[in-house]
Amino acid sequence: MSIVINSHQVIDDEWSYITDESLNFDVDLKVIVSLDHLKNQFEQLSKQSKSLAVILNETDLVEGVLPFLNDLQMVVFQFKVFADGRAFSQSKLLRDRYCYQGHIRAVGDVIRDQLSFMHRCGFSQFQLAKTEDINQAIHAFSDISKSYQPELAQATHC
Amino acid sequence: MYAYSQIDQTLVDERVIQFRDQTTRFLAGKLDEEVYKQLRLRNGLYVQRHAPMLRVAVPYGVLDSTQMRTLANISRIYDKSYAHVTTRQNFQFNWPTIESVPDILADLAKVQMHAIQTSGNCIRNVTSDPLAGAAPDEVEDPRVWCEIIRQWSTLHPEFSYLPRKFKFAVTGSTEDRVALQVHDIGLQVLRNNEGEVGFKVYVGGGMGRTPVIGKVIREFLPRTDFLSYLDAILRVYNLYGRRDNIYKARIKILVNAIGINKFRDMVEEEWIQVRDSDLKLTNARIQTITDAFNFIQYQDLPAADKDHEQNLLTNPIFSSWCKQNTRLHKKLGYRIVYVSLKGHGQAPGDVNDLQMDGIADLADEFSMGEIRTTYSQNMVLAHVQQTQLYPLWRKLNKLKLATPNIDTVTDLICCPGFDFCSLANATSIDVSEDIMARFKKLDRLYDVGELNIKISGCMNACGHHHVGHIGLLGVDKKGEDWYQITLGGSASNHTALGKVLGPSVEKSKIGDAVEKIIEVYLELRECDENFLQTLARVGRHPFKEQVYVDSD
Repeated sequence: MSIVINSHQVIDDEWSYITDESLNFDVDLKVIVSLDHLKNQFEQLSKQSKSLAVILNETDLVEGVLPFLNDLQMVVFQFKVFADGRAFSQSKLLRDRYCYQGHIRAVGDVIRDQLSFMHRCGFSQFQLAKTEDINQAIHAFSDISKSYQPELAQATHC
Repeated sequence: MYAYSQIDQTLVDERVIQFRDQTTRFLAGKLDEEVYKQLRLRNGLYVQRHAPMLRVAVPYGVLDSTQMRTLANISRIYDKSYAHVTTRQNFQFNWPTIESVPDILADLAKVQMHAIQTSGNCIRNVTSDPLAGAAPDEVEDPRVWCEIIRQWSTLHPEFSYLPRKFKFAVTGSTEDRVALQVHDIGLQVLRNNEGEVGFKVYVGGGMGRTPVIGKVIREFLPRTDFLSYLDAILRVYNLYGRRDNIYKARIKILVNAIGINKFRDMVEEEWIQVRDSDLKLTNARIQTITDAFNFIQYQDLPAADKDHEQNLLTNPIFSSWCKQNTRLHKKLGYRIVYVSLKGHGQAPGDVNDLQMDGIADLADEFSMGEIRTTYSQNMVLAHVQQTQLYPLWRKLNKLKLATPNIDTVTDLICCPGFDFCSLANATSIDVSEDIMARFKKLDRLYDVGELNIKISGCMNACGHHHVGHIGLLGVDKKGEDWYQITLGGSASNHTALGKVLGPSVEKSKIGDAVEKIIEVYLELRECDENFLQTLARVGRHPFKEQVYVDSD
């Protein structure tokens, strides 16, 4: 499956989801695990995998991943419904408040017309909804060239 | 008026292109209907009972004559030659086609107008005092703060997909003319004991199905912290507001569920983190926005004018109009003039293209080219020289815009109701016409005095019925229109929610019921008591007795 990165590039996704809480995977595999899995087996997971990511659903608070943040290459936010804007705040907090430098990825019901907002909230990777045309979507970041809000504060205080 | 910067103009222009692309994709079947719905709503476009409805933003209710002429033109080209002023001071067009909306937006952008965030679950157009800058009881002009909110909230990357819509009201005066306490956030500009300007902040007010009066979250917010504090409230709401049930998703439900004290603690904890961020407002930033306003320069005029005094004496209709439809101005020799959109036979808040053009001309001739819309669905010319009142009145009369009824029974607030709205249970415009016809005679109208009737066609309460002295709510009973009556509501400094009088009343009897309520008031009032004072003294029972006299 393809994903959009860095606002304009389309690449193949290298990450795999581990959904059964197992530890039975190759050490080179880039794995995405649930928050529960991460909490329950963090030590084994960090030993077992060189590339670890967590996926959060709408109701998971970002504070739950803070103890593990240094070991996470990516935080993934699952959008069940595109109009649920909680992850916009969560992503911003990860960047602005918790100085997270890894990737932040949006997956699920992710639509072209939200990409620019997501990017400005700190998201860096986007796996679009099946209905979206990914090659068209990469142009969405420059629809509006002006903004009134401060940019992410990460560069200055982290 | 605030003058657009290059940034403002570019953003609005690009938003037109973006929306045109979204609409093109939708019409070509390349954009999912539910996705397009959320996108079009955030640009003011509803799909209504008969046709789409486009709601155009009038930021804090201020527009100039050029913009008004553009609105008139749009109504002629794309609609049925009229428009509707809403309770959020915006304009609505009821009959455009979806295909034409990008062109309408392009026309609007040429005169620095747009429909951004006039609907959808985002921060809506900020409302304010229609007498801003002209009211004698003003601490500071609220429009600067409205503009700061407008900019900060426009296409906000983090707060564009909130649990539910979010409405701000800002006033700079001591008298509440903005319904401050029935907004998600109400901001009152005031000075503390040290003379510093800041804000009293109300949160969690609102109408709809669950009407709630806003609570004070902060008695005094320093102005440098204005945006960081709003940011903190919005973040707490975005993260913790309910999303499982749209009827429980407004901030008022969150505030009530956890209590104002706990909510305040959460906001303050968040605020500490962002207070010293880039959101901190510097004096230079505030000054830049203030300077962009080109505030009106008034002339020094004499207090009295012989011709004006003479006209008041010799022309009783002009005199009534002056008394009822004009207000004291902060500057000697000027008056604030209300343009009534509640003429006999006129749907409340409706204005036709010739009237719009006419108001634009009168604004140029008499009020420095500036026009205000009010949440009570009228307009205001805020800077009229006293000596000019008579010629202005004559011209307003010709346009049928001089009905001397501001704040009276016939100045009622009314949503578009079932005639237009797909949410409505019942009609509201014909009920308002019925009531207006019963009080057509001015001596009867003036005898009743100040009395606000507010009518909503459904529980969403767009017609503000909860805060009407007399409120009417349309309900559907087996396919027929019935109306629930509430008494004692108010959107003033002493905000109160009306209480239900009794069982709902069928449409053919609702006019009689309202008339009976008013007759009971006239019979029972003592001295100069207004309706609310009489109601408070005698209680609901005498009213109930008359309204339901035959219903056993």
